[in-house]
Amino acid sequence: MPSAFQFQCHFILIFLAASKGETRYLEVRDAGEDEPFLLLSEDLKRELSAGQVYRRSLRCIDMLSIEGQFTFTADQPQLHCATFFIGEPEELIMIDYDFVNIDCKGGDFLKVFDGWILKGEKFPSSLDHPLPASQRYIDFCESGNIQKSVRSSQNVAMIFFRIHQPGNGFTITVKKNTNLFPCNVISQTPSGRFTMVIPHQHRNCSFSIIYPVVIKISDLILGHLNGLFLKKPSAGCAGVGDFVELLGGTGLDPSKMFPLADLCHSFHGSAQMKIGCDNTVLRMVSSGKHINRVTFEYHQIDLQEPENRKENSIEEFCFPSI
Amino acid sequence: MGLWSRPPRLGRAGPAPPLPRPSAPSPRGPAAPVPPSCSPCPAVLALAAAAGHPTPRHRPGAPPAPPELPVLYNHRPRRRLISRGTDRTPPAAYRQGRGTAHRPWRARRDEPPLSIDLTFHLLRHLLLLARAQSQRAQADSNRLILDAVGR
Repeated sequence: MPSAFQFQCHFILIFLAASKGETRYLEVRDAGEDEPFLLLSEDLKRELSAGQVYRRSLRCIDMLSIEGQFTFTADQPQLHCATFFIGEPEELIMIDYDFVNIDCKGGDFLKVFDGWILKGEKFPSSLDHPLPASQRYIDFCESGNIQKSVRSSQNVAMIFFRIHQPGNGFTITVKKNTNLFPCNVISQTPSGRFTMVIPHQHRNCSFSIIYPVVIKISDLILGHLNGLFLKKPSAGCAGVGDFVELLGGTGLDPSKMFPLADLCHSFHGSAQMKIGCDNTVLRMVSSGKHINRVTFEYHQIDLQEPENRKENSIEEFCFPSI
Repeated sequence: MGLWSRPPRLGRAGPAPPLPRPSAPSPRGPAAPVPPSCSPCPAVLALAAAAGHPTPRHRPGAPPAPPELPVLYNHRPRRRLISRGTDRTPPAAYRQGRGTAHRPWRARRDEPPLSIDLTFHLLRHLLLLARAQSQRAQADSNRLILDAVGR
């Protein structure tokens, strides 16, 4: 077949497919190169999907970082139980009640908390969370008939439960949703790299690392991205609307941690600090007038190594519990 | 060398900023309470140890410490969760002024929130277990897909 005629036939076919709205099908075929799952037959896809739902039983004190279906059944009265959920920084936690068999009137409870709370200290702090503290607890016994699903506001959540009667329990399904602009994050790992962006939002965002770390800020932009000159304050960060602060402490709540350094001017380069605290938080305060962005890396420090006092170290302000 | 390439404007200058005082203004607004456990004073650490605060310290060469003892809730008698619409209005007798002869009415203090007492050491241990579980689950999932593709 002559190549010109072949080209015309292809053009006509593409035009007809586009007019029928089948171009999306073509896009999907293209995506198949990166997604091997799409190359499988429908039966096989169905089989894999069913088999790929992760399931296991919950312990009284537990932590989950994956999606799946989880069941707790009390073999004896369990009065002080909690499960922590954590995802990637750009994920939100969604908890669905599949089955709940507890005696609310008999003193059982099942509550979801939007965040983590440890020894009375909350993350995110009350200053940084959109909801008041009382609304961060969702009690199944009060709202279970109405609210079957609960979604967190950040990458962490937890449930508290108490079950008196052996044999009672519950089943939940945990899923993850995408968060385009992660704000409050607890890192799953002691090392990593993250870019926090607050685009024209009047909010404060914290990134918490519950390890002693060396943190290196490589890029900080406070203000407009188009390079407009910003008026710099004469001294310090006092009175500046937008800034970044480093906090260190031994608790979970950033509002109760010790401020270690403030950064209120944009810079490109490397600014490094060793923080030997149990918890290190990088917190960005944003007025909403600008697009603010900070990129940083962190890795765990070995506190058993000989310390070099000449480094920019402030670990003397924290005595970790390890 | 942990140096600032271009010294950023720090809120505090010098190598070792002084200990914060409770009355010192915080750059974030009202003075944030300084938790006693955050103080660098050795005396505070000694008090914490004497109080039985679980702060295990790893000794060089020692085997890894097992997770701590069972955790406890912040449990207080007649504890009530903070619920929507905590009643802060004084009783009728006080509103009518009859309470002035007695001790003035005070708003009922909010009960402490439901929490769990867990050390960071145990929390990190749980994180480690969760990550390992996640990796195992991902490996199983990858094996299923590869087995299916290979059919």
